[in-house]
Amino acid sequence: MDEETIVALATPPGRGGIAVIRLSGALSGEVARRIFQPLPARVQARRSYHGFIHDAGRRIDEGLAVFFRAPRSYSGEEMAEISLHSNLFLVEKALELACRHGARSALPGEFTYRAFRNNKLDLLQAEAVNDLIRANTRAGALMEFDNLEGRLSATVAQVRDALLRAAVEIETGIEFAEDQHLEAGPGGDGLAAALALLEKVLACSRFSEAVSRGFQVVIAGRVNVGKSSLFNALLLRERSIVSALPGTTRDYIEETLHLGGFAFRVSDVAGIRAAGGDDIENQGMQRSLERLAAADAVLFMVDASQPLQESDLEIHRLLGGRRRILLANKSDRGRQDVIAAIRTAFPGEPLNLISAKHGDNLEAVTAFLASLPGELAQPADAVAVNLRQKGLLEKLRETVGRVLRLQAQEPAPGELVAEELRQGLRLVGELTGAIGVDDVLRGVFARFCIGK
Amino acid sequence: MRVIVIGAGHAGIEAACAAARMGADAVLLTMHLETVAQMSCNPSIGGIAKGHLVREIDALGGVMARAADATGIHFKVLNRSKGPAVRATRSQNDKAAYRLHLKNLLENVPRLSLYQGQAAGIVLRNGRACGVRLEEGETLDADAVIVCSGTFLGGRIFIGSTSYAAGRANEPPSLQLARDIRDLGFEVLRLKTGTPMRLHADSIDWSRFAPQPGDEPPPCFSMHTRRPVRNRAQCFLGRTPAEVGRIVRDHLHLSPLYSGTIQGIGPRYCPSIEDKIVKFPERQQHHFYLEPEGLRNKEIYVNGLSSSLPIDVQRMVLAAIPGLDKARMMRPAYAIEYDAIQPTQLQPSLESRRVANLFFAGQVNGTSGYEEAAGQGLMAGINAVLKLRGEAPFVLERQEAYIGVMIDDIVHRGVDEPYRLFTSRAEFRLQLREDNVFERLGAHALRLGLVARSDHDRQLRQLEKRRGLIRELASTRARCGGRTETLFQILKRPEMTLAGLQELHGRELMKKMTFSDASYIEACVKYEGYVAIQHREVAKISRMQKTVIPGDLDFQRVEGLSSEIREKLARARPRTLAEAARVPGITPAAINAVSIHLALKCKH
Repeated sequence: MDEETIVALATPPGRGGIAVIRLSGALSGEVARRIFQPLPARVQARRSYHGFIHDAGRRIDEGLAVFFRAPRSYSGEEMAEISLHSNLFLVEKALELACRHGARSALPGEFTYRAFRNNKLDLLQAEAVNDLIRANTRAGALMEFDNLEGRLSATVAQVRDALLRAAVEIETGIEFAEDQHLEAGPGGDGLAAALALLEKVLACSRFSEAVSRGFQVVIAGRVNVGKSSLFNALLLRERSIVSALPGTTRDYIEETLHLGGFAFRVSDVAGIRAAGGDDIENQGMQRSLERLAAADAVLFMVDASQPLQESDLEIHRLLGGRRRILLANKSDRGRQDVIAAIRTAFPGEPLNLISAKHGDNLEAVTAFLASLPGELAQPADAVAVNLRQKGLLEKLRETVGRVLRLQAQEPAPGELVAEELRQGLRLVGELTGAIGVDDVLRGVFARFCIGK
Repeated sequence: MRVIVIGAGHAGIEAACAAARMGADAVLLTMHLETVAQMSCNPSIGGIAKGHLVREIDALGGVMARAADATGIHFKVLNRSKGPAVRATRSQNDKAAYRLHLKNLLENVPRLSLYQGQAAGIVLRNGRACGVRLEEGETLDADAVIVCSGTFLGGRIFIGSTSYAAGRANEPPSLQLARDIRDLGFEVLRLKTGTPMRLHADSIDWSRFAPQPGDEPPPCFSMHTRRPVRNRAQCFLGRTPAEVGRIVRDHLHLSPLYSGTIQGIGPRYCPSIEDKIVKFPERQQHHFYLEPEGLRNKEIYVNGLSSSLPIDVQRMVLAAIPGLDKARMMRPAYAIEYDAIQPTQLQPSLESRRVANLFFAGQVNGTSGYEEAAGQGLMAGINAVLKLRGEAPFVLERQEAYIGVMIDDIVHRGVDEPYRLFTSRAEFRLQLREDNVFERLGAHALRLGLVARSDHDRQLRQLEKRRGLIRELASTRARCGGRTETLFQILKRPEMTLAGLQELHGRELMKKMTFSDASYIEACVKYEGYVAIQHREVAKISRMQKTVIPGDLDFQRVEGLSSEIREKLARARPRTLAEAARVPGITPAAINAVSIHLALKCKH
């Protein structure tokens, strides 16, 4: 173990009462002993010791130290954790002391990397930890925990098994054609189930992505309808410049709102209106349209105090079938004829009268937001999937689809089915580590009585 | 320039012929001139992946294909109903004719001397092989030595509780050479294989078995074979009744495989009857084939009943099989254990890393099968000459030939059971076909002087004809199934065959189109999309092949590898990133880590 010992703050900086610094590597115990006293001559693993952090005999803070022995630790190496009070200055000082006594600052994710390298985590679990570190919402953290427990691994394992089984059957048919009795069946059932599973995971992945990055919510409406006021009202602070002049919000502004454990990234997009205005404004509008396309939900606003305009209808058309709530703003100055006209223009869409400026009936908006996660998916079904995994799962879905189509051909081209299955196993291999011809041959010999 | 080849089996013959053809004086040493080119086990050549090998050997000027065609008595294309890539030729051969044919051929190869003598040891000078010591007391000088000892090194036969030293039934083993190779420091494995009993044809009730005729017209292996081959015998299919399972189980303790007497590891793909019954107890019956060993020979090979049970139990098994109940056994089944060297001690040229100019080929390298042996023998013969000429070794890539797949597998991954080639071992199976060996290997063969210019040109004209037809298919349109498309597009439809296309077209597409021509054209059309993808994959692999891993690289110092992977890489000693990627259990992430390490090392 010539490995360097690394140190880092393990808890989020500047929040909460306690901060934990973590050491990993052969010298962990020694470094901890140099900066934390008193400790017995032989410390026991997984026991906490009360003491003080020292700098050349001077007490800096009071805290607890816990030791872990390799390989029974998170990283699989010797580890120590020291908890102290969460104060930026104290934490900086403790890290600096650890470095002075033989540790070096860990790179981002290095603990996880070492855990992975020491076979403490498989690749999927390692990625989940990485996402866990970044996840900033409760539901996100729960979902990542599921993944850590191997939920995605289990899904991929099921797909792998189906592919391997089908590959074994098809390869047996190819390699041992002279053993006539071995002609393998199509073995499509497992693959059809695997395809369904992949579809499900991918369908959930939009939700799971939304959970880890926050649901995208766009406030849409024509110029000067009061979008920025709503945005500010929701966030309860002055972020957008709210102005009576049309076209003030040139670009979008995004802020994260936390409701019921979920994050919502609400953006206040530039007003959309018919051609005209300056170039910057047109660019802003272009971006507004793009954001609209990517939104999980839309807060569609119209003005209750002025007759509907052509641009209101145009924006409504842009929304298509997007999940939305219809808001008629400026309820304090609302006109009955206008409200009636709005109802007629957007039949079947419940109208919510609000006043962004005065904070009237904003509950309708927050209730709508809070209902979103539930409508998009059942969190219990969700499997956390990152972008790399998603790309591979999509390719895998296409490959399994092709296998099933080839198998349905008459006659089925066995060697091409086998080719697609190999591609599938390669993809699975990229998710879980390589699968080779030996795995297939082992299956052949285990399942079929070869030899005439 | 003198090359001595020890052993005149399938590997040794190709090695000596190739070396002689390339201009060396080749001495082919055999213990017994009567058993040159002996088919020790089944009377057949080719089969899936093996037929591919035989065609490759033929394209590289080897003799196996020609001999198989000349002495074949039953020919078949396996997987005929499947796609071109997995179709393979197999012949049943007259064993005696095969032996005589090759012995006669060897006697007429210029610069090749067949010599009867028993090798006792390799003579070294300055760590270099420079001769062979014979048990007869003579020492032969050589510039290179190729060991093709088959199952003879320390061979030991087992039948029930009896065992005796032998290289093949009632033939002496090679004990001194076995000791000498261990003394040279080679890591030696103990492997096991077996062969079934032979029965007298007249004692079999043939009416109880299903005849398996050869294909008409019969396919052949060699590009040199002009006179059509003929089917002159049949094989028969039979089944063992459940009673056989009971007999075997009752006497299992008498099988050296189960009593623990045999330590060697046997091949999973060629199990003995006792293995099959133990591993698949739920199977009520097991299939076997009855195959003639020759036309003027009454011996019948019982393919599928290899065993190491005592002879009386073998008789009980036969008595329980309807149709074989009165069969007279002419030779009993037996198991044989022998020495093989761990082939990771070889370079891809098949020269040993330990002793310069000493090559190994065939079963001694832990492989099994006549064709696998012949393929290695050919490569060892070629490389011995190239080495003596001071030229770069001839190494076939995995995407070029099954020979390349096989040698790459054994020298980089080693063996833990007798290695047999399967088509699934090739990453680029769709491109490694019987029908395109010339395209893959023709240029190599010409450059190395392995084939005559006239043969090469004839093959080239054939290839041009095929390509011409493909161009014609791409430019001729026809109406089929309500759509007008090029013939190429129509042939791409899953249900369409070349025969169907010919009918649709209304006239002959190509004069004298052979089965191989048809396979080639079908493959070009049906595999088009896949081959394009594989070409990109090949390009990626060749980039990785260009990334050389220095021989002194310490994998312990590569950041980001698990200790398990470090150990695997250290053992496998990959020369390039591409080789590293094929070491079992290596992940893409590990390859990235190695590649990053190499890039960083380069920068410093």
